Amino acid sequence: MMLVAGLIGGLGFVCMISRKSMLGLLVGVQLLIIGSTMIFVIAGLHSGLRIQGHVFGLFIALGGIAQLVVGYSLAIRLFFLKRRISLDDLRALKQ
Amino acid sequence: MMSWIFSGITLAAVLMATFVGHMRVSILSLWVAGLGVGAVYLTLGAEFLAIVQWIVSTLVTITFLFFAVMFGEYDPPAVKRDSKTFVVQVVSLILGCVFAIFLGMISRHLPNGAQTEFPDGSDLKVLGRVLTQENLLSLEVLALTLFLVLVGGGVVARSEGEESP
Repeated sequence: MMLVAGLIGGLGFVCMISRKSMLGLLVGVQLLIIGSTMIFVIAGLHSGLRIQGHVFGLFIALGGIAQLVVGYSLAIRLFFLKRRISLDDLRALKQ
Repeated sequence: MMSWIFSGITLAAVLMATFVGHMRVSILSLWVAGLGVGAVYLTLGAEFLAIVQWIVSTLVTITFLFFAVMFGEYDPPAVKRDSKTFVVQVVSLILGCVFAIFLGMISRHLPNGAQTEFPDGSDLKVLGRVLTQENLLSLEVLALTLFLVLVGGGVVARSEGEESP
């Protein structure tokens, strides 16, 4: 089961690197967050610290909301400046 | 057994979210992956975390769909795949596989056999007690972080008077 969680996180990493658009990058980050949450839950279950694993998973899942807000606001800012949301335009957010 | 079935569904959805070219299909696959992970949590006795995962995944999916609809038509046209793109995909796939194998090797050092009986009561009751009594400061820091991110997101995405159309 830990391997499944690692695969989810690893594929999120693949998605982050290989996608060219901002939205693809955010999808990859979300997959990475899902995988890391699952790793903590399963590790807690196997090591006898079940609730502690759940607490860590809860904090990571709620931290994913921050990623959502920051990614969305960056995309809006980028579109406001460049009129498109390609990742190549993310090098500078100031005009 | 059920957890393995849900894991298979989740992995299929993650593969689609990673490699499918159409962005809306990719986002919907991400939603299925989130629901599948929540179902795995349910089979592992983490009911509260499963509900949180479902809510967060649905929220993320709705937002990304809005994102795709709002900005999708402004995406640059699909470029022809060249050898550089292929190399980047292969290298990233190798890195992802190395990460998964590394975690699999770590998992061999964990104690054998998952805990199946929980003598300390239901998940929600114990989790609430642990959160409020042992991790209250962490919870406050998380709440403050989310508040700052909300304010910061508003500041970053603000429109500047002279530049707005």
